[in-house]
Amino acid sequence: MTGVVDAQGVTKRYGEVLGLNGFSASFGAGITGLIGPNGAGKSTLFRLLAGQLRPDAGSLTVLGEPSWSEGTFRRRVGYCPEQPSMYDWMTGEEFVTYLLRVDGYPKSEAKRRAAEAIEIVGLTEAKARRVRVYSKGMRQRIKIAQGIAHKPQLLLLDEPLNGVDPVGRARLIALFAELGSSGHHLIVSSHVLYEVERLTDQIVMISNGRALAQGDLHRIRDLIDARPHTIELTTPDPRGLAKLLSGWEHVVGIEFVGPDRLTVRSRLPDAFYRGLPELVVSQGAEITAVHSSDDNLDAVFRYLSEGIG
Amino acid sequence: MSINPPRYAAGPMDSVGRPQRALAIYLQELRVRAGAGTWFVLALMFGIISLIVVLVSFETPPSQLALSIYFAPFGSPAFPLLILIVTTSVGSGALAEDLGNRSITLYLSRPIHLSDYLAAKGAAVGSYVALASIGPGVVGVIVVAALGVIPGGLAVSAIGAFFAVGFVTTVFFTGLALALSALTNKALYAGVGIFGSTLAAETAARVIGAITGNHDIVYVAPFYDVQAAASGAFQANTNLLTNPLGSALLLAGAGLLLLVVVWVRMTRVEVVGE
Repeated sequence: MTGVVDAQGVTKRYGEVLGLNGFSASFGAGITGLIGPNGAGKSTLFRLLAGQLRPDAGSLTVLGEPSWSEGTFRRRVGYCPEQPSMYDWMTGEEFVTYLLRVDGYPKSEAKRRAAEAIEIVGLTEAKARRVRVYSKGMRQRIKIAQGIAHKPQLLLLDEPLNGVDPVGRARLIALFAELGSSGHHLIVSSHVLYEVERLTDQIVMISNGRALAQGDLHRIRDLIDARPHTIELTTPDPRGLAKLLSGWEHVVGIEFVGPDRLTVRSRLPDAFYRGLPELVVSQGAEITAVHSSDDNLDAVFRYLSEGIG
Repeated sequence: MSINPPRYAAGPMDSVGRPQRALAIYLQELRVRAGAGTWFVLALMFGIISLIVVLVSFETPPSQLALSIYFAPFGSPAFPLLILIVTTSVGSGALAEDLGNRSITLYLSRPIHLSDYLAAKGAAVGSYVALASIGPGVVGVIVVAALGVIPGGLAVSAIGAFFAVGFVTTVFFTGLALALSALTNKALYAGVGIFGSTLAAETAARVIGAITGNHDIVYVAPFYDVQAAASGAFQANTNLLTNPLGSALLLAGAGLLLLVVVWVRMTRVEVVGE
């Protein structure tokens, strides 16, 4: 194993509840997305990676060191938890400076680095305001600032885009991309799948405390190509369109999902998409919208979850 | 506002040692723990207790000056009650707030030991409790000694006695505050627990002791133990029912036991928040 993070059979229990259940995955360099629904075990994994939890079984190494140890890896890891996790009566500057002091920086150095990190996340103008008056997006950014202020090699971002407005999301995604390209390793969790798609192709999918799949998103996509793809079509005449499509050999199922919509399951999506224009031109079919849910991570995740289940 | 690209590369950091990191937490806690109400009670204590010490020094004929006269502030449960108020005020949120707002996760993901974190928190709470339990008496003695009202030897003995009683009092109340603060993520609940459990134990022990005639039960009363320990430290003749040394050991032992509870609880804090 040579990954930035290597997990082999990691299990973490909370009494009767399994947080992680034999989780095995390797997180490589650069940006890796950790995908899974709420309750999948993402935050548990992050807290294990941050050295806050001890694995009940299995091995977990972070930057080459066991995660549950007195090793130096914590100095090289930045953690941005999902929860608010802050003293909101402090100013943004005080908050980041204080945590750098806890990290072990002398006061003057802590202040300098805090200012630098706050500038990176774009909060310089607001650094003297108390965190309690920050918007949710600003709180996320100040959390990220404390996570990057000590220049970690590995940055753990637990749902960092949660609650951030669209403009803020775009900025943070650009920031993460910059961090990734400047030598940091990032593990970014999310249950909003398109966000991770915009960040990286490298993903680890987690559900019920287990890794469902990992690697390049497109390779994972290839894994499920054997399964029928679902395409949703919007048309004023669903029954007429269904009649036309039922003659296609690779169409294995049609379902009416609304007065003007139907979903089609096809074994050969490429052939399906090639045939649609022909259907409109030669058969006179009227199709007002085509939406393939298979094109996003949600569908990949759903397929894999069903496969495991 | 905009977000700028980073202008640095990841790299190792230079850092100061564990004591300095714990000191950063300690100083931060000192700054935030005591609100205006706490300072008001502390000022009240310094005013009243110091005044009592000064007055008894002036009122006692020089030939009768003795260590025992400085037991006066402990003559009623009011002094321990004021210490309890300060303890509740500064100690209830010490750990509960970190558990409640999850800032504990930011501490524990950093290169600090849990023991450093707890030591810093305990030291901060203990500093205020010590200030309340030791400070007023010592200040009063220093004033009368400086005025030449009492001899230096007596002043040193009195200061030593105030420190001795204050020490066991501080250990007990700090342990109690941290233990109850560690058991909840709401400072209010912890505060009610600290105040309520102490007063409940005090009242119940005294009432049951009076009804049953069982003097041993009075050891359960914290204020009574503080008074008894003080009677021993100041060599005062009182009609208190417990053994002074026994009460002092009980306070210190219970405090240390509660600190162990804090440690055990916080090593399992990983469950919190899930």
